[in-house]
Amino acid sequence: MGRYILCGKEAELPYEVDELDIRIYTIEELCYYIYNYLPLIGEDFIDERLLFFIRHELEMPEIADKIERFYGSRSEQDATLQMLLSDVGYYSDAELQEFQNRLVYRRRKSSQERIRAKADSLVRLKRYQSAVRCYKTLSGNGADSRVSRDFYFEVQEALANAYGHLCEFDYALDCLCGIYDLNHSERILKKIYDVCILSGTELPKGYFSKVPDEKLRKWQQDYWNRETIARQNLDSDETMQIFLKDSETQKKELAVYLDEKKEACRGMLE
Amino acid sequence: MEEGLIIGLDLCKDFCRISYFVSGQEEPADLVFSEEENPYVIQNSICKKKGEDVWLIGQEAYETALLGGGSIVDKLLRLVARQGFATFDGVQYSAEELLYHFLDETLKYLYAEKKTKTVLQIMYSVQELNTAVLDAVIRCTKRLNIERKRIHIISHTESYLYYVLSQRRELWSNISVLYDLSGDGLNYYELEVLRGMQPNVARARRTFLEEGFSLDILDSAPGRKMADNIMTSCVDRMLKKKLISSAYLSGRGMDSCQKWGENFLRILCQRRKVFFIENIFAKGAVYAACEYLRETSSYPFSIMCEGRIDVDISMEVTQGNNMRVLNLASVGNNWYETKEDFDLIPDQETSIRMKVKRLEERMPIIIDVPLKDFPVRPQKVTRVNVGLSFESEKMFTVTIMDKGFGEFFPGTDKTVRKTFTIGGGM
Repeated sequence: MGRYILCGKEAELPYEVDELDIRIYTIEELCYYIYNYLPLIGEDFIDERLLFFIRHELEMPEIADKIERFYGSRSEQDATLQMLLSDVGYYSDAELQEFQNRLVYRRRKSSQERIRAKADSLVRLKRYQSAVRCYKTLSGNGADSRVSRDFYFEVQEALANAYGHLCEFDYALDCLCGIYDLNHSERILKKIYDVCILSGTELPKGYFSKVPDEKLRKWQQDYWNRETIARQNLDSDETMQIFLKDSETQKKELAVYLDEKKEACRGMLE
Repeated sequence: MEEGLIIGLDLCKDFCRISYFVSGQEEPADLVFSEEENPYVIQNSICKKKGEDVWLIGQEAYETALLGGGSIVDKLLRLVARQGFATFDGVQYSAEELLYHFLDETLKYLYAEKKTKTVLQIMYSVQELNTAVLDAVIRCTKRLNIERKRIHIISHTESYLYYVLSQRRELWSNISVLYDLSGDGLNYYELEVLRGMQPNVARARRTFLEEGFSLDILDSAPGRKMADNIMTSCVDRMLKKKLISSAYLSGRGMDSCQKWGENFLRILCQRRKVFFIENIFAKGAVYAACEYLRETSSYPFSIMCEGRIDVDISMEVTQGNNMRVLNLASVGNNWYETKEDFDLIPDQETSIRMKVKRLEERMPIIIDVPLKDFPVRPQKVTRVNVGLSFESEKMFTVTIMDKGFGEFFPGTDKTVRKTFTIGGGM
């Protein structure tokens, strides 16, 4: 059976979510963010800024007080989030149960795995600069004794991938070479080869001397095939679609697109 | 109570009157505009002095125009209703601009008399609730630095109701009637309290009587005789079988009724209390305005009259984890001031449903406004703004606008609007 949810006040000053580069104006949007972007929510999510937003901007002091009391006494963020979603009433009981299951699953993960999940989510959301920041907190300056070797390799590879999306090919190569130096994986070597062709960079010295020419030709052919498919896919790419629209719409949408890219670049510089 | 003026302004088509209340007074007082024949009345006419930024109203406006000192616009409210224009000194002014100057000059009389400009409440009383006029009156009054929450408008019928209910109970225990004879014609008002409902209902009705006559006929003896006959027959026909507690007379035609209405008054006064009240609508407006300054109503009634709606409109919504009924309009609300605006998120709903229950009907009617052509999104991520407003006491409009869901799903401002007629076509 359907229902109508009576909405609360819209904030004048929104709550900014840096990871998504999005502003939240209502309690329902806040619940939606918590529910749908759980991997992005760090341990420090419940803070003064959030409480101020709920108390003063959304004018919900009872909920803010309850969070403060509950979180203050138990310091359990997950239980506090569950309580918040439950009190607001935006989600049904079945949805709250599903959310609780996800919280339980998340709790089983180590803190490094959670950060990795957050970074992976950011890549899926095309927030590459935020993803890079997250991956870097895990990889530090080299392989860390606290994480497994495989985990470190996976993170470095994902970091290289994120750099690739940002066209930071030098950094991507550094990551991949770092992995190869430790594990000598042929799969990683092939990735290094791909990045070099994509960016027009010379192959790094010493890495490909032992690779037979026939294999290199096969890799090159493989790269071209993938490039052809990628070019074909560009026709259905959202960005390319902009150029098919009328000049006025094209101008507006390009401005938005460029703003997003500029924002991403600024994020990289910070 | 705060110190300041509580104003009742009877805004008729051709003239206006003001009554007011200040703390310490027991009864509303009438503002005297001049020492002329009709001291409590000022004509709705405005004149701008040639070459000067000086506005004159009423008699002064006529005199200045006659002496060639400026152009004049009379019957100002008719011009406002038509949303017309007038040209003074080669400059075109909208009717609303003229109304603003007219109200400004009119209120200056009161401010000068009472030596204060603090307005606690101002209640306009108009014969017809024309939206163009009402909107213009509100806007003009706001320009006079009176807050919107202190400005209200009611019908003459409602002013009459408030006036009578503010009198001793014995004067309205049965039916109370009013004959208002003015340049606009003859109007008959009837008030009765319907007991046995919770709360009791005070109902007033206005009837325009076709028998009405021009006030010019009172200038001649045969005309006066005819007027007496007309009124006698009206009273005889209309009040014969009714238990009347009080009868009131008002309007420019009635101020001299003792001279021309001998028979009419004789019949009217038989076993009835009869009063001539100079400013009945302005006084009633003052009593109604006082209601806005009280925490609880002095009138334990649900009010039904011209300008008031006779339906309850509600919606079932969830707030937090609770189901509740959201009352959007209630029986007795003033239609002009009944405006609702709120946001909802439909969850597994493709339309907005409301319950409409008329006073005399037992079961509510369900009305449905489909969210037609709204963008398709996942469940619960479409926030809609729901607006409800009345065009008259019998007609209301529901407006629904897509607001999206913040920056997650930007709104499109797509709007659907549906108008309903109460009692038909719903």
